[in-house]
Amino acid sequence: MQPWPAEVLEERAGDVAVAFASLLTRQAAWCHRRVETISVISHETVRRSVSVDFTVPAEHRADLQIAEGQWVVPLAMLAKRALVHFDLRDEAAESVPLLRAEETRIITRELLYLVLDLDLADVESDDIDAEQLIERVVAMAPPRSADLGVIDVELAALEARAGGLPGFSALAGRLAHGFPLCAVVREVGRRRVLKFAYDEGLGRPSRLTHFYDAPGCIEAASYHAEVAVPTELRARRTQLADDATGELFASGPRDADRPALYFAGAWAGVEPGISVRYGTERGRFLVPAALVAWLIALELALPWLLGDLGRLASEAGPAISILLSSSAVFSGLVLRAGEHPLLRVVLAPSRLWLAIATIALVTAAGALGFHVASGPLRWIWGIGALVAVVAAVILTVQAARAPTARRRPVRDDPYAPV
Amino acid sequence: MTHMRLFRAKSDDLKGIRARSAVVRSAEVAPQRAFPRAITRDEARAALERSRARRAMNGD
Repeated sequence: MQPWPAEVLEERAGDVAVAFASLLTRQAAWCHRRVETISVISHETVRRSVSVDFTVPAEHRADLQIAEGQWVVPLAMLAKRALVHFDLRDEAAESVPLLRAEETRIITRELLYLVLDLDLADVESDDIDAEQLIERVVAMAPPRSADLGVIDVELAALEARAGGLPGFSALAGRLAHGFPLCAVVREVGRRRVLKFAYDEGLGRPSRLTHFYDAPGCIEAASYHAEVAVPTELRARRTQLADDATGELFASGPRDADRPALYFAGAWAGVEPGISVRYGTERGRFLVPAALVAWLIALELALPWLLGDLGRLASEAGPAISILLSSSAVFSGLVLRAGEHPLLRVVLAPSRLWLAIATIALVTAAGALGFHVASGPLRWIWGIGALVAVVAAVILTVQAARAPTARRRPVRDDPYAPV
Repeated sequence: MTHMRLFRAKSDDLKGIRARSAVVRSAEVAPQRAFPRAITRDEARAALERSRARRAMNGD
């Protein structure tokens, strides 16, 4: 009797685990390239797309076959938690099936027993019982810190009894937190490219500096990362670094609208990640905002310094018109439809300064229009002029420090290691 | 944002940059310990057979 699809894996799990043991310990030998594209969707969400370019070694193809025309390939080690908007596709953008959690668990259980046996090869191991520990490790529920603590304790006890289990400990440590993403492909006889993507939230609010964890940067012979920067923003600097030590592994071009990084190595620190510092292009908002702020400052400061404010108060009509027309320019700069949400967050402080200058202007115009007495009128205009000058200076500094929209020449070679 | 912060130069130190940034986690699990060595197919196959024999003997 032929086994049903759900029963096939029970029979094939051992062979698949044999292949996984080799593939997971020599990833750079069969994964040629990983390309990660990070797209900032909003100030709260980032979409990460990972493409894995690989060739399944000929000696493992038979082991990985689970049915006629179906091979299992471990593409990545994913965390045991819910993924948002997850998608896995092949070169033709067709959906690729995945093993179910329970099916993956059957393979990882066999894999753990196998690696444990390798570590125990030279040890009298009849009294070594790791069943409970292995069941804890392969549980598919997101691990609580208490569960992870129990696993650590049991692992340490097992190592104490067996005298060191380096391979098993490394594997159990990873499988306690994650599971292999097992794609079921229809062909492994040639080089393949599979792509998975998912959304992640921004964990902590920071307007300008983002840190994208990149643990996968050592899981292929070469690693490429690209950041798709929202319109009107630039990546002022893009660096692949270890957060724990600050060691820099790769650096992208400065002030780029799509910076790229390249890394090839077996070690990228304990907490590798891509640090990106964003900046707004100066042309679209900052320069016009600085000009408007200076115009407001001049409109308030010149009459205050040189004009006869007492006389203006009696013939205020033309002066008020001139003053309030500036606030229309302010509205044009602030109320813009279709703006990227991250840009809106990044520009918020600059807009606040422009708003402060405009409020100073409207207050001065109002004081003029309501015929405020000469003494308080001078105070209101003086303070308004001062506030507008401060706002103008701040906006000018921000505009001067901001990148231009012009495409800058790429650093000598974006793919050159630092 | 204070005025002083506006004019202050940004730190270039990458150590601890994660704590000073908006963090986007990866869905992938970082290896906590590196595998001590690569495993060959023959080794893995032999280990599987031994492991299954041991488990069968223990009645698992």
